[in-house]
Amino acid sequence: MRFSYPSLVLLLVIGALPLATTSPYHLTVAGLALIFVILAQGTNLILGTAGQASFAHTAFFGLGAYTTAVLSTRFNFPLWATLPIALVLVYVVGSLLAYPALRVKGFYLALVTLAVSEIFTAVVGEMPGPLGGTEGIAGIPPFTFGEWSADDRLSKFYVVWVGAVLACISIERLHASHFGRVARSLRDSETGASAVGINLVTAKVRVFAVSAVYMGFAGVLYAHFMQYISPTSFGLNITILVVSMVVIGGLGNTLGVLVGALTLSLLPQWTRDYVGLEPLLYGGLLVVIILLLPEGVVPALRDMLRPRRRTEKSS
Amino acid sequence: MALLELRDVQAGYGPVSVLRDVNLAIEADEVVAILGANGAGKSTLMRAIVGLIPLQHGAIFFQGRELTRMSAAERVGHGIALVPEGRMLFPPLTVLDHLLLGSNPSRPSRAELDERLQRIFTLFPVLQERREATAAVLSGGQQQMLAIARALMSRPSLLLLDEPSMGIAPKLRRDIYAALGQLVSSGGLTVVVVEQDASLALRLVKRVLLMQGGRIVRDGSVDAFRSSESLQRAYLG
Amino acid sequence: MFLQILAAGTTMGLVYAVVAFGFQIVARGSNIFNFAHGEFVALATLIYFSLAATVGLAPVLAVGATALLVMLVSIAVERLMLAPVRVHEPLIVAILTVGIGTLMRGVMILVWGHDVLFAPPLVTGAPFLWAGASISRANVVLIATCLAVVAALYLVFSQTLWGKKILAAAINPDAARLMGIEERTTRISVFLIAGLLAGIAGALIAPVTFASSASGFNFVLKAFAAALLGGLDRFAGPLVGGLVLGLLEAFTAGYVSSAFREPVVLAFVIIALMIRPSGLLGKPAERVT
Repeated sequence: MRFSYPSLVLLLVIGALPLATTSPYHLTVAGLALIFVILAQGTNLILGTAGQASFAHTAFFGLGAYTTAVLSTRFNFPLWATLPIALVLVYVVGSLLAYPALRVKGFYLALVTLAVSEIFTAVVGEMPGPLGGTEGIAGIPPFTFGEWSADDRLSKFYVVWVGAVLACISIERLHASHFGRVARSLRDSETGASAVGINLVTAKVRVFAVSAVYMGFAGVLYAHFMQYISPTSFGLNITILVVSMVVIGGLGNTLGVLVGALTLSLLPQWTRDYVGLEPLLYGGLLVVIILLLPEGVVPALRDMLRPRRRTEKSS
Repeated sequence: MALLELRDVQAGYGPVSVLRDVNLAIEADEVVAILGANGAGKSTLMRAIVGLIPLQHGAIFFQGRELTRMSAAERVGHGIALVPEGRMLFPPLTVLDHLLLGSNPSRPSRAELDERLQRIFTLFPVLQERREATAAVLSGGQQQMLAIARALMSRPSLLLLDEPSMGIAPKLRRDIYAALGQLVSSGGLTVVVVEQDASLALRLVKRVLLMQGGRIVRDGSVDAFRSSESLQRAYLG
Repeated sequence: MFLQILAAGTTMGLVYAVVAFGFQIVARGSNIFNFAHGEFVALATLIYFSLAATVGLAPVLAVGATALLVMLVSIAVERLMLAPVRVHEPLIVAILTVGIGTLMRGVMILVWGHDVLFAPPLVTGAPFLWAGASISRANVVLIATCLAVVAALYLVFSQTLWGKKILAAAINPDAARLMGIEERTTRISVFLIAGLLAGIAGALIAPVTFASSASGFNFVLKAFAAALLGGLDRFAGPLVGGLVLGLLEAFTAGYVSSAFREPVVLAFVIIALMIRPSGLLGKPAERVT
């Protein structure tokens, strides 16, 4: 199985966290960081690997979370039913949305996806009935598998951890597969991709929808991990945060994205005493990284450690 | 001292080199044709001289001044003008707009500007008639005249022309070359013209450069070129 | 009722148009999709608030001073944070502007906080009464100023060599270089214009919608939408797009529900762009990049 060792080691270190601390607070922070890892990997697929200016993915994050939340609180559906329903729904909605948006080149996709995100939060916020309005949905059950239920923080943390590991492994395999080559060819040269017989629209729609599925998966985990959701969890701030994680770690680089997601989710732990400092921090980091290390921190480090790689790549 | 001098020039796009080991000196008032097959590097040479692509190696001197690190905009200000391949006009702008933009690098006074416009309109009367028309509605031949006129508006001492007869009806080609002939005979202008179809260009020039695979493979007088049967066959068909 | 909504929609629409012109000019002249553009408008609302309310400058002077200050910030941002970037993929540069916008919002929160601030009106006096509708003097002044700004822009691009140099660089950067036009100069020019426009728009709208460090995203989303809706390649694109957005917003809020104003307007934009990818003024089949 193709899986990079640094990624594996990082995930194992996070998985070993409960050996050091089992405080619910630390486990919550770590669990959220893992959910951000999945979000960032999904965003990276469309933004970094395929090079498409898509910013709608927090809407899919929300769609996944709301689907499972509504089904399990209003209709008492078990997780084994809500998870596939949510993922299929996200895939279908993603394809429907992507098909017209991706026919148009360039930044139209950015506008359409931003608009969709805004529409999602506005509509959810204005639907007090089944969607809970701005109040959100409380009382979402924890993860359950048959008789077993993840009632305490530690079990919930491990369910999320397993989810993040699965997401990371599957996304690396996707990158190495034919699907990944198609996605990369979309970024490198659209004309080249169509010249070798790839149907550009179909390929883009599939990459978009698959990356949306990762977001939806993250949403399902989030809903049952926090047991409470509201529209503010799926707003523009989250989009900017996730995009920052991907760019700072390294667009198109799965290890970089993992590092970026973990770093940026844990960073606010040191700055949370200063309210309002977050935009300054994320914005500043994003600017500095793009100006100094436009490929991202991890690829830059790799190039520094192995200067030969660069010349190999360009030849 | 040569007007234009290229030393060991290597240039291309990204990491790819198209030009290799190009050494070339062109004296003031010379009229030179560069011939060669598609992909021989003629356009790349023009773009490298004017600074639209950076050099990977080597140096370029113009009137004794080194241009190598100057931007295209600066080089144009020093008296080089290029009539680019495909003309590169600005479709929504008028003929007059093009001429004013063309004069921009040398920043002429009002009177000087009027005088230059007069010269252009004598050379290409049709541009005077159509001076308020946008470039988008001009015919191919008129567009080419406008592209040449725009380049001349900066009063260059070196005029580079990249395939000025491409995609133009034969009669208009002759008109364009007639105008170029007038320009050359009035003196004070060095001309380098790149053409695939050499027959018209050879009537204008005294010296011929042949390019192949990014190198200058032959450099001689137009008479020597004409007297070589094999070259004639290859480039004049 | 109808006339009042029409007046409010036109006012907002023209403000969106002025902001959208800045977005469009930067996008065309420097190939940067500037997602920080809305933050310049938000900054303008706050600077106007400080100058007019805190310093006590006359509103007209405060608008002028705001426009100049925001213009300087815009040029500084271009020189310090956009010019040094070494990659030229439009997507990376666009993400860089997301970072710049976020950074600017951080600075605004630091200086002005999260509060919504009430800026003094431009003009006071009894509203105009016409056909049973009352339209405030401020609205009339706003509409007139925005129209004057659009007219001035049109003159710059149709009558001045400066404007034509920017157009030339937007149409064909290589050909523009052959005309002695430096990319640097064009970029400074477009950020200068965009900053001025954002400054004027922000100062004008501050008394109507209040000044806030959080308002930037709405402005960039509307500017982006207005520019593409009208047609990015058309001079009148932002004007048409901005007016359509402003009016649709006002009429949805007036006749349907103010809660669904945003979703309705944005859904309209999405559907309109699917039908006409080159915008309302663009040719239906035109290729856009």
